Amino acid sequence: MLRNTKAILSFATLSLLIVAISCKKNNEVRPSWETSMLVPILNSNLNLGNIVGDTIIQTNSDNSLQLVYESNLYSLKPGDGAFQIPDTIVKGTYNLTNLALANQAIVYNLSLGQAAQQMGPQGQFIISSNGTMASIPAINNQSSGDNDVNATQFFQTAILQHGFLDITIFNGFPIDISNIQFQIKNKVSGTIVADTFFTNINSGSTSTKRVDLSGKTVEGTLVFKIIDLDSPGSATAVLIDTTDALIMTMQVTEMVVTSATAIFPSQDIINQDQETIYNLSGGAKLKFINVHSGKLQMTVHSAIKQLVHFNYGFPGATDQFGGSINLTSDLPPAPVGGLSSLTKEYDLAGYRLDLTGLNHTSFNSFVNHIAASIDSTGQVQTLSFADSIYIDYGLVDIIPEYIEGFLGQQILTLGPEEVNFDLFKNIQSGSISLEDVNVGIDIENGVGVNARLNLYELTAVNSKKNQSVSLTNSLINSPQNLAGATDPPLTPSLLSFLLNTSNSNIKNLVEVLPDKMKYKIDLFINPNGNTSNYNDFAYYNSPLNVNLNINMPLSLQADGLVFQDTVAFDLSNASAKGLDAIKDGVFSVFADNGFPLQASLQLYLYDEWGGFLDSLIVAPHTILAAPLNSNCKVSEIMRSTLQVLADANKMNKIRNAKKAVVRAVFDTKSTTPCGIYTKIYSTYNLSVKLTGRFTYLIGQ
Amino acid sequence: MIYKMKIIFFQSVLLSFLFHFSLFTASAQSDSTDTQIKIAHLKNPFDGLHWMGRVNHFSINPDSNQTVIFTSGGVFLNSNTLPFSFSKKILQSGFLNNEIKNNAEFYTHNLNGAAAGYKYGTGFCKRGKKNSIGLALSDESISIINYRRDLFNLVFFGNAQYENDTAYLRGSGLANQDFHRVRFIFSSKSGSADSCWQINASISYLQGYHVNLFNVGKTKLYTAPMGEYLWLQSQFIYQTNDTSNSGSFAFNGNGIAADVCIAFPAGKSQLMVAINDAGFIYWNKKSLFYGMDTTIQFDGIELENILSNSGSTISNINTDTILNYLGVKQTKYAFNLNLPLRFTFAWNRMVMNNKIDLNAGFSFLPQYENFPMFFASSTFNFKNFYPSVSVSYGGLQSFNMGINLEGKICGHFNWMIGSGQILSWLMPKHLTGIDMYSQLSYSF
Repeated sequence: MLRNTKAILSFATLSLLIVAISCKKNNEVRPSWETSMLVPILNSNLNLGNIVGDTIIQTNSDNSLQLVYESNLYSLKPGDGAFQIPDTIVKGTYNLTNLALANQAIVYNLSLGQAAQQMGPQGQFIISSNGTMASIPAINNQSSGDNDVNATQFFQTAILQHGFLDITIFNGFPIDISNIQFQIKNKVSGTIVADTFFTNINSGSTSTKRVDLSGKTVEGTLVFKIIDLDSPGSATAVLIDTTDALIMTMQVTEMVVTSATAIFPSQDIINQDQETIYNLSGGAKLKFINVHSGKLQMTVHSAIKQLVHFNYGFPGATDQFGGSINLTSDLPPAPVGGLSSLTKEYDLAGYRLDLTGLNHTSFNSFVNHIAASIDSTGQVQTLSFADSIYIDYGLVDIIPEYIEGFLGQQILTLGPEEVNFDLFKNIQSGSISLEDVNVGIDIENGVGVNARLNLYELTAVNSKKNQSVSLTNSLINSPQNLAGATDPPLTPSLLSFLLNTSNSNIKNLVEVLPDKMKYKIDLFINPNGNTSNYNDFAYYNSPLNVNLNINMPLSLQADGLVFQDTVAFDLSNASAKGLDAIKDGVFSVFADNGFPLQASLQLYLYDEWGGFLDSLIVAPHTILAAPLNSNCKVSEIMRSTLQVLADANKMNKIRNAKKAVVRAVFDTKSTTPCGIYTKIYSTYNLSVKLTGRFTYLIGQ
Repeated sequence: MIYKMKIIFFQSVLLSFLFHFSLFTASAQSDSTDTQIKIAHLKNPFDGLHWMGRVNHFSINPDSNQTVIFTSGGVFLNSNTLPFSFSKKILQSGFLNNEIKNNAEFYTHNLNGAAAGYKYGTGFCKRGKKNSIGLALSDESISIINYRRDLFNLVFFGNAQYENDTAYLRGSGLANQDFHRVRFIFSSKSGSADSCWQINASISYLQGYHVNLFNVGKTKLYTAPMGEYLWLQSQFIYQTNDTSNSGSFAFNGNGIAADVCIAFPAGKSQLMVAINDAGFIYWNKKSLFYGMDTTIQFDGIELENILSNSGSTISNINTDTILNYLGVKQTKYAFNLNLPLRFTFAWNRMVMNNKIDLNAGFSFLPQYENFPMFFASSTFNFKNFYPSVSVSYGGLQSFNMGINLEGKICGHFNWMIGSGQILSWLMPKHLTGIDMYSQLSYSF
């Protein structure tokens, strides 16, 4: 048996061992080897569009090219400069000026028996005659003791800003009362709340008196006392019933408290319209704003120790369906000594704001409706006049889609200011000479206001060379009137000025290869005042633009024109192991040049911190210009081959490169028969191809 | 050094040939003198079912009629062109230098082949006097690769040597299947001890969990001078299992396979004919299919503007972008893939007063091999120890020798360990292939 057990155990152990060894098959094993690869890597066609950037190239009938470039110098639209809607936050504090308590009534019965007990021998007679017919003698100068009246189920204390106590006495005694004076005072403080008297209350009749409680403090427990009770008695025998009573009803009404510890009824604590007038620049008076973007911001703080239902209405803001803004939210009870808060933000994009006010006769008016209410407290709660709601609300970041009204009369001085000029953005250095150039200054007024524009300065700036050339032309310092756009249909007005080599030095401006344009402009809005009778308008998408439109035939002379750009150069994803797979090799650049321009091409490698690593191409790195035929056109493509020996050291630098600066230097060939200017045609093209013969490590 | 190795190799071939020739001669002489010769017979119900080793051998105490439990495993890597030094580096995840790669020898214009796989498992067998039954569970992998010299050159040397030339890849391919097998075995004998017919058969359920099938059709690659462009005419399909479900117990495929082996007397010898792995796995409809039938000229990745490039084009070059560029179509559908069908014929005879058991025959995978693998072996029947030596040549391997050691311990344990291509260890640069297997069983 033991032998069998041992055998089975041995067998099981070996089985497990085999299984364990077999499981190792899932571990990936990757042998490696080197291969010699010869592959194309990149190819690119470089045309003129690639070289000159964001330009529009037009082809002339003879296939020569025209460079058309538009640059915006200045743009004025709603939300900018003159037509700005400033952020305005309105702050409001709302006290509980109308904090009311509910009308309450307390009924106090003084039975004949109770009164008799306090009347001495006369009282004893009345008590002993209970149930009999007897004549009651006159009663004079009788008073009662203190009788507590408990009103704590309604309030514990209240300082009344306003209110009345209506005291009604029903004479249930069998005798008339000629005079009754009584007093109601606070039990704790002893202050008198009411001290009044009634005269001639016949048996079975009722009389009422009103006591003004304004400014008084009323406690929940009051003391009621008859100071003086006089009666002529009964002339004849009357049925004496000691349960007959004077019924006194004390009703408090119209109570507005300064402070109270009470059960408050549900009530509106704020309910009012608020009109805010905007003060806009230049005296602008707007009737409407269609909002492109912007928001309504609101912050509400409450010191009320009770949940407050808050409602904000903006009736002048309507969406495309005519719906207005109505925000409702609850403010939680304020903590002791603190405030509860509520913040709301409402996107106004697409809303139309009516700024004509409550009566639709105003301008720049912003009407709001604010309401707040509390529910019945249900239990005793202390509230006071000082408890307030603080509301900050207003329009923020308003960019109008459309505005209408009088846009104001104002002069905008714009500049001196520089704007980027991207036509030659990739050119780092060198110079060009152009055969011809035309530049249009187009002023397109898409705003519905009359204006007057004065161009004081237009200067081309080459910040790299620190050179600048200012425009000389009759337009400079000569005010130009601009008519407003008309609507509907929206039709901008246009004013154009042509600058060419005969009326200006514009060629010099362009040949300085500017990267910035500097200008100074005065723009006088509504120079003649409110001539449109509040019918000025402006659309967000229809600005007032001042544009430079450059139009020049691509016939030029280039001297060391350097185009340069920084490009991402991270080849770490090029294979599973990145460039580590490539050990060394020879990279070849084939350039098929169809331009009559000679170019030298170089790639500078930089690491992720901007540190220079290496130049990719070892000299010579010149791409020869294509030759021109007798018609001064390129007839055949010129191929140049550049080779880059990338040994292990260079490959290491390529691996570490994260950015590369591509630098191409262009020169026009000296082609005397064709003149000094070289004309560029649409058919010209430079094809660049990069191939590699390298040792590539596979596996591992 | 190389010269010395060659001498050793040819000496080995010669010695092996002489050894087996002498045994066969001896057997012919002994036939006329020894009347007590036993007719060789299939020892076990598993024999001929292609369980372990080159000759379908399975080790269970041949004299036992008892229940047997067993476990076994083995691996192999064969090739008719790739030397063992090459295979060894592949197995070791080592670096293949040019000397190792240059040792590969090719049949010009013919497809070359390689095969690799493993198998391990466990089971039991209930033996009777006439009939036996058994059940075995195993995990198996089989990969067979066909390739042209040009494909080998492209993969292992790169395309630079084909500058201004064309590499032809047609007919290359890979079939790899990993699966679990549940095998039901039946064995039956008839006739007397001297004239015994035996049939061993099994039917298997196969649970496939991993497959790779790659077939290259009319495909060639032209490399332009200086690598200016690559011109690829490509026609290939690649199929694999659902990659989102790739665990070893994933039911990505279901299949069935049958094995049958018949042994019968022929004079004083015995002949055995076997057909193995007649079956297929149906890989389910979630299997991935990649196909391409196109002609492409590749001029490099195209940059819109070399003077102002974001770099994303270069950075984003990866397998997916390359497949997209090549226009490889991806879809999903089910397919069947056959197991490599094997035919085996063997002659067997006992000689030298039954002390030596001679075997010879051939084994053939018609789908993948150009010609069969021939083998011969001699087993020495000592008490409780049965060593054997073998020689083989053909199929997906070169000439080789093998050693098989088998024995009994304590009357219950049977063990076996062996390799059919042991000579490769001694001459890794000249011989191809390697295998190794072992087995342990216990008879109750």
